[in-house]
Amino acid sequence: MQRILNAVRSGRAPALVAASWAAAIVLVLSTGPGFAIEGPAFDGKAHHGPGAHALTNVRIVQAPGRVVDNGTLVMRDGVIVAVGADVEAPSDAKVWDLEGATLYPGLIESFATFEVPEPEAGDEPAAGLHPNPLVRPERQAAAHANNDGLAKKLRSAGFTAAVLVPKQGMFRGQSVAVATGDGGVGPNLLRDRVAQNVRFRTLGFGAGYPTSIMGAMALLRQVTSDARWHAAAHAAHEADPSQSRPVFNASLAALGPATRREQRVVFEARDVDRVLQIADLASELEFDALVVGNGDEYQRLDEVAATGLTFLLPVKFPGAPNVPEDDDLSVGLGTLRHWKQAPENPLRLQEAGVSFVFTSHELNDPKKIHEHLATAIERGFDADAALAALTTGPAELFGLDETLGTLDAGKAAHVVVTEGDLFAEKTKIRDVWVDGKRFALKDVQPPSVEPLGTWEVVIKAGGGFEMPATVVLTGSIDDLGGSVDSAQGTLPIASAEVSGDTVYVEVDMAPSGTPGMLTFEMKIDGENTQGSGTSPMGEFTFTGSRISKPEADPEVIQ
Amino acid sequence: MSHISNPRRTREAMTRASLVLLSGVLLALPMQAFDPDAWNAEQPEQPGVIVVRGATIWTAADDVSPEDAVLENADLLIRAGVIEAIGQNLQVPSDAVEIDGTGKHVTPGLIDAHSHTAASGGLNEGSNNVTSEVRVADVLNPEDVNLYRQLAGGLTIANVLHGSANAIGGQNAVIKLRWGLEADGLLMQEAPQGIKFALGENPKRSNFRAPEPRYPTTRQGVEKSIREAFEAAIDYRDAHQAHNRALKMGKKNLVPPQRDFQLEALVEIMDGTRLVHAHSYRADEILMLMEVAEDYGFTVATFQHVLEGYKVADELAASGSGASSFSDWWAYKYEVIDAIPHNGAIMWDRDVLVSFNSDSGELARRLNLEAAKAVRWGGVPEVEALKFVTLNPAKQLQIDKWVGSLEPGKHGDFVIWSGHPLSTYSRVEQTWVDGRKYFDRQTDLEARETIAAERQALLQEVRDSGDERAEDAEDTEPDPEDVDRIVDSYHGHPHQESGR
Repeated sequence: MQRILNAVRSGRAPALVAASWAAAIVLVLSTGPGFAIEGPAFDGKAHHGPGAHALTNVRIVQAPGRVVDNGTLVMRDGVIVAVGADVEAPSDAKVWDLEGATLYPGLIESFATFEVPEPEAGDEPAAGLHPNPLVRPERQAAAHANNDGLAKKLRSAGFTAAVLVPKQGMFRGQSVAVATGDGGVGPNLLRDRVAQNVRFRTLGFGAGYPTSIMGAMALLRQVTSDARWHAAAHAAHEADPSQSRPVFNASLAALGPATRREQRVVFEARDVDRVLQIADLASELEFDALVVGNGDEYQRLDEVAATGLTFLLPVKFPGAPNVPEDDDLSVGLGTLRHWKQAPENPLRLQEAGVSFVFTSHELNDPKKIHEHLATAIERGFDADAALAALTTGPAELFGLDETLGTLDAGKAAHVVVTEGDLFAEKTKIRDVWVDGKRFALKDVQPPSVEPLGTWEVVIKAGGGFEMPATVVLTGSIDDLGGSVDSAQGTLPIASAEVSGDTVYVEVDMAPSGTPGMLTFEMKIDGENTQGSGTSPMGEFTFTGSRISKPEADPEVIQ
Repeated sequence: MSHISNPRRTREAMTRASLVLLSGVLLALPMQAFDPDAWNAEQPEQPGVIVVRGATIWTAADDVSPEDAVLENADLLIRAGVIEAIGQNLQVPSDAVEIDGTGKHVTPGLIDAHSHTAASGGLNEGSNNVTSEVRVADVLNPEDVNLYRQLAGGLTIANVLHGSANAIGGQNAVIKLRWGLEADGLLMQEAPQGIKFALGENPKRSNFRAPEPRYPTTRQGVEKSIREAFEAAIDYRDAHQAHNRALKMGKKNLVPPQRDFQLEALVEIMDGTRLVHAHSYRADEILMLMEVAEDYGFTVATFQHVLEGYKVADELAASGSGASSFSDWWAYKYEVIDAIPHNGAIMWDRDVLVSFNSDSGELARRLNLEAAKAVRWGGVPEVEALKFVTLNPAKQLQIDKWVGSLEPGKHGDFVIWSGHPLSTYSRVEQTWVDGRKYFDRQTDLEARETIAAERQALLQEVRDSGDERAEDAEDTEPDPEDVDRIVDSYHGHPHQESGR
């Protein structure tokens, strides 16, 4: 009730008239067991708790090398409250019998780049920013990272948290650590301004500065020097204002923490020689640097180890080169050697004492990381070390280890549920839990039903709550669209996919005023349907039937 | 002892390696310095004492009588990487590495005063007409196989220059061809800093299509842009000097002047601590830059290419500027229409300090033959012609205190030739840098078998692997910002490649 009063007080009364679905569920769920609504209001929206769950009868890898063969993990409102062999499921928890499955700590992606919106072409650079558009150290990933698509992609590979990095630019801006739940940065932010990010970029002749990598490095050197000057000049002017006021530049000011080593600088390297160049530059410019490697570090192992740098190491091993039957020398020896040796890169770095965590960066599909790691493990890399480099390693590196990295009481409920080993050629991830919210990963099967049409359903949630809704599925079986109509109005379907007899639907709730995704699975049996789903407010089930099919194309009938 | 004194052992090791390979197991042994991938090459060891016995030694030293310039049946003694003595019947300790020089010729390591080998990520910072802030040393690529190929031609030092797109280009890097070391290991630490200038068609962008014309587009504009840059550098220096004076007088909390790496490099030129290497062709522009240099208080260290140098040889000699020229190139663009192959000989005859350079990763493999052309075109004595690619470029780069000739106290950089070093019939047998053998023809020939066997074993392994990732070559995201590859494609452009 308090929520609605808040809404009224904040002038959001019109939303009430529509009696938003989300708010209705909030109201009802708050009276039912296990759906306690708590936490502070943010922008008039509810901060929800996803309730209590017990994952039981399951193998639990609590941390690298720490395994419970058969136990129970209990989470409540997004936090792990108990885990072990003798843990009992509380009476109010939803019990998930996961016989045959394994729980792993949620994985942490250390370097996920994404495109941030660029200013419109022709816009003047904002006043007070660096004139070079490649120099955007003030850019905040957090301000642009409402990217549920990216979160979903990462989640499907078992990543429950990620450091998001702006993709463009040379000084690319500051990264943000988020959980990969839906709803954007707001509910998912773990740590802001994690690091400054640099990649050496060039522009074409005639398109600006720099056109060369040496120019990019000179730009790095000059901008860094300017940032230090900026701080010193403003400090001097503050101490003695009776002199000319130095120019203010927001880009240079934003680099301040990095120049004072209060913020790390993550450099992306395209090969091992660039790694060594970066090591020289980072040392010259006195940055606290991390380096995104390239997978060829084994080629200069001693020099790489001597840098003392910590790596965010892509796990990408080249596919076999296309070798003609008659060797025409078109494939170089270096390519052949790299194909052979690249899967041993992690092992050799580890043996040389280089510290690193893994990243799926540069893999088309982050899920491929498991297959590649299986190869690395086959070639001698320790499986526990591989898990550590995706969990405890990045958690410690980015200061997230109080809440993430292991399955222990008190930590955030970030859990990966697999069938079989996590690192396998065909890793089967069943579910991913992010902050106590379950995301089921589906196995796409060929469609066995015809889902198009208008479906009337009745939604049921805890406490006897019921609400009618209409789901309209349009388009074609390969390209489904449509809308969901309920008490809160009509929302377009963001994505709908058929697998076997089930339609998986996602709806962005934002237009209704509630951030987050509504997702549900419609199991179809002839003209009837039943299913379940989650909204930002909690879980629900539904049943219903089809009331109309799309009109057949008259031309086809003739 | 080392593989140098015991070639049999090396051969055995390689045979063993071949067997390992052919049995299908990848080579895990450390690779030798001749490996085609720099990253597999180990730094050759530096024997305590090396002596080459009974060779014909071309010292390339100045101020020696003609009969002492080429010593017959002589010994060269290197201790701890440094030349100790040249003479006959030199005494060495029993564990010294002895090389039989009978019938061989020995020269100093060759020096290329104009190279782009091992520069990566774009030779030209082509955005602006003045880019004195960029540094070739930042982007040296030690994997450039030309380093090894040039060692095989007797080259030991290269002056790696920025391209010629700008009136004032970037800072060059003088490197030793220490194949196998990482970039920092290539730098010749003793060498003074330098910078590239360029005059004429390239900085005024005569032969290049760009979306937008770039200032300047005339020869007068090139001069003006250089003068403007130095004027800015003077203001910059004055501002910093005034600030430093105020600090010395005890002033506190002064807003400091901004540091500018572009102008700082120009101040260093005026201070005489940064050498100017100026791409140039025509006599008028050579004289122009001499005047500019005089106005700003420095001497141009080298005019590069300098194909009309023969027209202003006396002025060049009087100015003290060196001339680093091509042996016999002409007619490749309009501004070289007056180029003649006698240019080097004429300038040498008028007491100009002359060197011949490659400006080419390929030509740098046979710089000895470029020197020989000074004999062919204009009759420069052989001993002096050899200096065109040894002592003279060393002087131009101001590194002759350490390299350029075979004299006691200089670095153990030398080449063993199968015959007369200016002959097309001669080959390099060994190339030594810092008393370390970076190239050995015999080892190279033997290694080819090992490498071919490794290659065949790997090819077979690929064919047998049924590697599923092969069908999934798109596992890794193509890199739309892969700037190096885009920029390196400029190398394919004939003008960009050479910067000529």
